[in-house]
Amino acid sequence: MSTHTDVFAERLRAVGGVPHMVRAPGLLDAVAGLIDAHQPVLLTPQTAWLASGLDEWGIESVVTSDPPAVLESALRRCGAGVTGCVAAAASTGTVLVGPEGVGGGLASSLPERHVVLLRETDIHAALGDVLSVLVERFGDLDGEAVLITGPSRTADIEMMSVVGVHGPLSLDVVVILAEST
Amino acid sequence: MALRTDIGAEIHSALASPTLGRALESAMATLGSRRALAFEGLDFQAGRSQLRSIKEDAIERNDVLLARLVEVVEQRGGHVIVAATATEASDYVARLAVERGVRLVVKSKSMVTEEVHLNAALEAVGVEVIETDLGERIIQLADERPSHLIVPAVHKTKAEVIDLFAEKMGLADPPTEAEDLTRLVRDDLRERFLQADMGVTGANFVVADTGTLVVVENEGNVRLSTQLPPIHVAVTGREKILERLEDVAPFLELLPRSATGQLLTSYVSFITGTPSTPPLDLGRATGSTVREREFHLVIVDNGRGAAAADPELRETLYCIRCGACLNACAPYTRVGGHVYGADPYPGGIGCAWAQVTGDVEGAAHINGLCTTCSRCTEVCPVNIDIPWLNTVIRARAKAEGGLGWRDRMFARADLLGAVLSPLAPLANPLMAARAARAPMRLIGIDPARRPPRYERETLEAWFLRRGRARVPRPERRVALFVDCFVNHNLPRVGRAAVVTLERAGAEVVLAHTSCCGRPAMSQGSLEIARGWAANNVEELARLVDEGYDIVCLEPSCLSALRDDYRRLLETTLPAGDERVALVGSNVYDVTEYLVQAAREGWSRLRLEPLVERFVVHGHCHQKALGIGSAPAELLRLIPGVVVHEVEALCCGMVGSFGYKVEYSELSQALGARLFTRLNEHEGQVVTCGISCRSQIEMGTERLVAHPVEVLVRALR
Repeated sequence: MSTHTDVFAERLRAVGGVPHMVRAPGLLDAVAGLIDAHQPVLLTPQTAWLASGLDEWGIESVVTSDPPAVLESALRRCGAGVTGCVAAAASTGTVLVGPEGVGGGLASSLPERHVVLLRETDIHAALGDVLSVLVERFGDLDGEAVLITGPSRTADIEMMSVVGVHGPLSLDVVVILAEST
Repeated sequence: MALRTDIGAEIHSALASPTLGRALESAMATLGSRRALAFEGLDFQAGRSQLRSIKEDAIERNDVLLARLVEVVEQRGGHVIVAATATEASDYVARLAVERGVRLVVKSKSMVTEEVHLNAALEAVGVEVIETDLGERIIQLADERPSHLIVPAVHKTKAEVIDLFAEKMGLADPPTEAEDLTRLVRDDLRERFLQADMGVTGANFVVADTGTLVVVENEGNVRLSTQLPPIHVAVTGREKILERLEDVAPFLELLPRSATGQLLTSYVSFITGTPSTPPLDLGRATGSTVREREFHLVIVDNGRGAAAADPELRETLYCIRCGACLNACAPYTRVGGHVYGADPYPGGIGCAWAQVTGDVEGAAHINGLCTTCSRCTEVCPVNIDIPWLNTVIRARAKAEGGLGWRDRMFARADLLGAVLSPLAPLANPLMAARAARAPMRLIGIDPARRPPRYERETLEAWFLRRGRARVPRPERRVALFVDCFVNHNLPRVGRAAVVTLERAGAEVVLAHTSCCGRPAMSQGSLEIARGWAANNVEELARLVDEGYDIVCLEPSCLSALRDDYRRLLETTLPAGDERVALVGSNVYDVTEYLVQAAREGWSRLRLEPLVERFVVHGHCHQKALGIGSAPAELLRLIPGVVVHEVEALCCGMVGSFGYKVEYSELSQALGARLFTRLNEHEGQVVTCGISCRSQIEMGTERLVAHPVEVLVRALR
């Protein structure tokens, strides 16, 4: 693993997220294990390819670009959302999640558990590098792009840090390790 | 909002609250220490000067950027309105809600919507508004207004929140842990997010080139408010516009660090155009009648355009609402934002926002609470001179309403001294008797406060009588700036300074031109101060040209000469006049000067050991000027001494502030924090400020000395 990856994992833990290191062949098992009972799972057009594999695990999935009627019946029940990610910053443990097609933002904001798929090669050293990626690729990121740093949190009552408010209660980042490492 | 008439009464009830002080103190301490940690290893000064220049440029070209933004958003199918007034903004949203059949609005935290009283406007047309930020929700249930920019319910303790939830949600057995209380709100609001017809958010930045809203948050409610309801309305001030997406990046480095001490918040959303989610019907009142997603951008002017063209108020528009200034503000952390705040913006920056947005009365009401300690400016990520904004606003209020008797008296420290010094044998015993001071209340002075003693022989008279001392082969030439208080009230400090400087190898003359002008500035009389400043600059620049270093005894005078004159004279001195800068860079605090002399190796001071303990209180203006440790460093030049510096706290006296009847109680409350710290240590209390000195003497009954009074005792 590269130094960036180590730092990223450490910073992610510091903000309450959980890193998982996997090699490409083990990706589906890892995602299925994280979703477990948090069904149905909300996928975006970009992660929709996971649907058939998850189905074999007996995991029900809905894609955010499915017809409104399908989505409406699933949104109240969905327990997890899986998205990809454009880039990550080691310095802050941040992932940059793009719009990922129709309705993509729902998968990272509504369910209790958010699982992010991150390629190790997309981890940059600093937040500034990720912001540069955001600027360079803004044309493709039209819609909503979001920097996510840990699960939702608040400190509005006596400055006591509480994890899990309106957004996801947990954030798992599955880092797909590069072949050479 | 209740009519506000008596700030003294408001302060009194805030100080009397059994919970407020505790809630604020612990929250502010937490925020302050988290902030400090977050900035470790980061070049704050470089960062903030970058932010400042981006903001300066963006405000300079605000009209052009606004036009570009409107064009881009409309091209992308959004609706834009530039609202000239608060009412125009809130009416637009209320009308939109009625037209679209909106019944339920979910709202994320936004100070601009508070400014335009959006909730009231929506409720007036029968629309239910739910605040979704936890703090804002607490405030909404309690029917209160936010008291902090970032932590709206900071004035509430957990116990109060528990009671509130129990009552408003009808819970017999409410949870008691912050985590469970938070979960309760999550569960309570989940359905509202799903059913809302409209989501309202603010924006931290708006990018003109791309039409992108940048919204910074932690709770995920902004994301849900923009993803789920079919209509998204963003309300924002026109000062939030930046030109390019690249410009946002450096703000993201400093805003979260300054606000909550986070390296980054949980979410930073970049929203461009309407969301891609199809309009869903999860039980909305408007049902499936809305077939297309809509985005409306409400850009609020409400005085901002005029402020951009006002060189004295313009820097208010650089504010990014991080709240760091509040956490650092001594009066704010004692009385909170309901007292020190003009609806809705709290603190000293809130006073400026009130002035900008046309609430001149609100601004005037809280203006006197700024003690000009400048801790806010030290932590401001865009380097806004908040005390100066307050000074300017005070001057405008006084220009309108005129100076009262009390203002006139406090503004003329020079005249008071000139009149009272010759009458010292008569005046001192008279003013020492509290009964004799009773009539002072008539002009707003607290008779319980002991006025300073006057000395018959001023520093100048002594210097004249003694004659100029011959210093063989002087290393430096010093012009000691004679301030009103040392001259008339504490000439012994001046005498000690003269002798010490001479022994260090400097030839000393007295520079007595005019009062530095700070007392006049504090009372809002900038015209008087400007006249004196111009005199001083002329005379002191001449002395500098002749090779003199200017040395001050009172840090407040130093701060006027080194810092405030630039602001005070920027509009009156001809362009290219370098004298203000020349004086500013050649004026020193006496402790700073002597420490520097020792460090540079030219000081001839030879000091006997003193086996004594000293407790040092630093003056706010020394800290603000970056020389906060100079007094202690100077004392440590004396062999044998044990020096303890107490933590940086404002003494609360602040010249005339502590004497004013409405602020006297707050002044003493501020002092009490310092007194506790001082009383933890034995030894001679040492401080440079004259008003710090009298505050500490009154509050602790301990005698206080200026560092040069100690040094002179150690001279060999």
